[in-house]
Amino acid sequence: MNILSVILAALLAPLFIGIVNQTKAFFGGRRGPGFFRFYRDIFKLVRKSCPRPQPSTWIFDISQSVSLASVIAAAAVFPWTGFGLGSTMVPAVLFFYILAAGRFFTVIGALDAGNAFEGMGASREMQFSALVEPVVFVILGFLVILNGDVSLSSILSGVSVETWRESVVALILVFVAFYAVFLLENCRVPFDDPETHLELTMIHEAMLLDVGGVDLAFALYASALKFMLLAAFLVTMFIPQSGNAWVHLASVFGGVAFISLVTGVVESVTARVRFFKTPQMLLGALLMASLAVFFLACF
Amino acid sequence: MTTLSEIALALYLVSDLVLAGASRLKSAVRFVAMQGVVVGILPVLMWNWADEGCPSVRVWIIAFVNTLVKGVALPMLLMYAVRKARTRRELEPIVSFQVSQLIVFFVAIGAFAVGRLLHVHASSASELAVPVALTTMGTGLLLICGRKKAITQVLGFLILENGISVFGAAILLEYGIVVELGILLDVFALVFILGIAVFQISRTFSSTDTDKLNHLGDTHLMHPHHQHDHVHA
Amino acid sequence: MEHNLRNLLLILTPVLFAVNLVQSFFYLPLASRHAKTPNMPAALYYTLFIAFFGAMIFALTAESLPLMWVAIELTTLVSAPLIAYHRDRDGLEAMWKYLLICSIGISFALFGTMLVLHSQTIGSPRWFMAGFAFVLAGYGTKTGLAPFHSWLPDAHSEAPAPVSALLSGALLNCSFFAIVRFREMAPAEAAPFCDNSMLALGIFSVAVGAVFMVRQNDFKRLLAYSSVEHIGLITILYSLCAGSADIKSMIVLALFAHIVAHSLTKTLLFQTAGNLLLAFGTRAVPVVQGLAVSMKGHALVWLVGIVFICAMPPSVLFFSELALVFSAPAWVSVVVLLLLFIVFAAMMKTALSMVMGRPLVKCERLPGRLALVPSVLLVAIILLGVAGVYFVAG
Repeated sequence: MNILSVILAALLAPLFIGIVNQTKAFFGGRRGPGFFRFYRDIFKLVRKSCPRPQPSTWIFDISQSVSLASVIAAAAVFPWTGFGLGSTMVPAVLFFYILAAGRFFTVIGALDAGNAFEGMGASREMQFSALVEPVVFVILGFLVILNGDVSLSSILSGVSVETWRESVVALILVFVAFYAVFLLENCRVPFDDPETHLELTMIHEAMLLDVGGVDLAFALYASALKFMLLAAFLVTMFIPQSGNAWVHLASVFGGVAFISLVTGVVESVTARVRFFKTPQMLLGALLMASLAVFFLACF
Repeated sequence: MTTLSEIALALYLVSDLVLAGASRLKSAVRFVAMQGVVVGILPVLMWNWADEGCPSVRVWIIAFVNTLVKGVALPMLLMYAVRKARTRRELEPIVSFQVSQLIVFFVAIGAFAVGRLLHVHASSASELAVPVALTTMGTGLLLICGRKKAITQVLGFLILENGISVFGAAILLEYGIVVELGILLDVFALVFILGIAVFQISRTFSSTDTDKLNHLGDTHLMHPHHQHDHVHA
Repeated sequence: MEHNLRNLLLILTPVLFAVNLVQSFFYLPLASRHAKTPNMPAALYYTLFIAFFGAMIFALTAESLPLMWVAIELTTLVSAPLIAYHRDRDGLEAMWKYLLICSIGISFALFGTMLVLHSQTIGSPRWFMAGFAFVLAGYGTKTGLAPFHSWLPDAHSEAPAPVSALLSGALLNCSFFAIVRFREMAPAEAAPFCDNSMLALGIFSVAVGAVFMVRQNDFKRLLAYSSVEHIGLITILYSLCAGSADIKSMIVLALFAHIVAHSLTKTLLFQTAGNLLLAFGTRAVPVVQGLAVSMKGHALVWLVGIVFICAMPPSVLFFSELALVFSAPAWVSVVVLLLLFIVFAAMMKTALSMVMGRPLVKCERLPGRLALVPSVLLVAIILLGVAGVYFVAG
């Protein structure tokens, strides 16, 4: 059951990126590439060979594979059906550190390529991840206070209707804060534009300039999986726990589809903010999360 | 329906924090318009549907007019003034955006502390009314004092006004349709006059920075050069 | 008390309006003759002037508290364009400050009104105290109580003389009346808080007025700060007798007398100041000298007016301030007396330096009709003072 749900999640991941892009196409008045374009891209890339830049070493070779592996590991421990593979023992912090390990390998891979743009992208990626960390910690703290335990499955055991009634303000604040984290971690629009082709403004994509073939397929697939994983985290945080594992799984995927839709809308109506505004927006998210913790602790 | 109205009030808190950090005039006006719409529909959300059935015509009229004026007319007026006065579309902060957000954060905490002292006793009124109103008023004052342009002071005033009316709506205060429409008319006229003043200021001073509006004071007649341009003032 | 004060203001406000309307007829044509920028059209001026008066009467007569709020906000809206009568930079700046600061203040008053209304439905004095604090800050802004007075000197000095006179003489009283209405509703538990906060703001206003009058180089601003000081004195007087049912008591009579005498004297002074501005084209005290030589009549009116506003004995203000000093707690009396001494010294120094000495610049000759209204007012004030002496003696 658990293994089955992880495989199902892995198969569905590119579909949600398709939903985002299709929504954006709809708002832009275009027909759009269709929901399954991402699958075709990945199959196309898998059949190509991996060129490797001249000065790079074995670190460059393994970086994308390790990064994908870490995201898959995070997906494996995620409680898709209410309980994941050993997720009762995994502290929530570990989940984020598995993801951070993947990020670390992407970054050193980018540095290894010896390209100036990739170095710049790596520096920005690390800067933002350092800024996003306090927000994540405060949100985790909020969930721990709410649920009383640090393990991943218990902080993701959902919010009952009574809790919604009692502390709706705090929950909304946390929701907004985590949504900001979600957008930043996945390099979505107000922070980074996944479709930009201007090296100076790119963050995540800048690190993949020299990556091609199977490695690029790995990188793209890892980003799709991460998108789905964090969206699922956001959804599982807030939906009430149901007894039935299948119902839970279905509602998580439904929620992720909804989040993808919302993200498509948000990307269509907002413009990308200037680079130096990002820390300030994260400060806003941090303050919202802190306010939520304050409400939960004091009221 | 209490939960729905509490979600509305929570949106106010979120928008306060966003407004404190907003750097684009247009998006700030958009958030103010959102606040206006929320405060407009709040009486309907607060209505006790289960016990009292459909709200009376009075409630609908006030909700409709409020939404129209605060959510649509005033933001449009503000954007019109921005275009007419040809100001730059950026908010120029005196207090930096980060510090503003921190200030709003601490104001919110303080407001909730005050809210605990002042308990709302009426059964259906929301506990959140006082803290949310105070936080929003604080945000408004912050924008009035902490941003350079004259137009942002109008914006801050609107936020202040939103904070007050959200309080009125959330504690279910009723003082008759004439008074409510009178208050609304006053606010509308005020923003209208302020808009005209912004336009005149931009024409006379060729800028709308409030830095330029600090000529009057207790010492200004001491400067000798000034006496000449004050002849027949 | 509230009822009596309302009746008094309903008599006083029309009188002041009439006096200033007449003065406007004489003053405006001359003011436009000198202007560099085109002034406001006369028709618009009179429309707004009358609307201003109407809004004040509306504020005084409105029965419900939120309706009174609407009326007082209306006074801000219609009087703001009057302040920018001369459409120049300084006028616009003063109008902007007036609009913005008063509107923020008035918003606080609305919030306070809501809190007070809610306190009545739930019967909680704590809510009332919170509400009264907001009301005091809000209407206090419009009343010109320090530290919320910062719009007042700018607006009073930039507005044309009749508007300044009406703002100072009538508008401040109207918004003070709004505070009085809230105080009279106070439950017994909240009353000491209300009185103490009013006393504190009153003393602070007198102090701010006194400090800023020293070395003041602009004679219209001098009068504006004198208004801050007198509003402070009125607030102190009221805080000593708030809530008392006995309107025949000495302190209540002193309060009423002070309001009337201050309004009339200040109107006289602002109108004379407007005439001096027309003659000299500047409000700078160092330029305006030797009035006793160049403009004998105006010099006399100005000097007597200043002496009266400083509460020298024939003035009614002398008796009311005497009553204040006798009935206030000892430390209040000492502080107020000290501050009044500073005010007296500052105002007399300025007034004497304007009247005495040799004329520095040639001033224009003013037509005699400009002095008509101030002279009538002067006679009225002296008669009032004499009546006051008889009343106190008998």
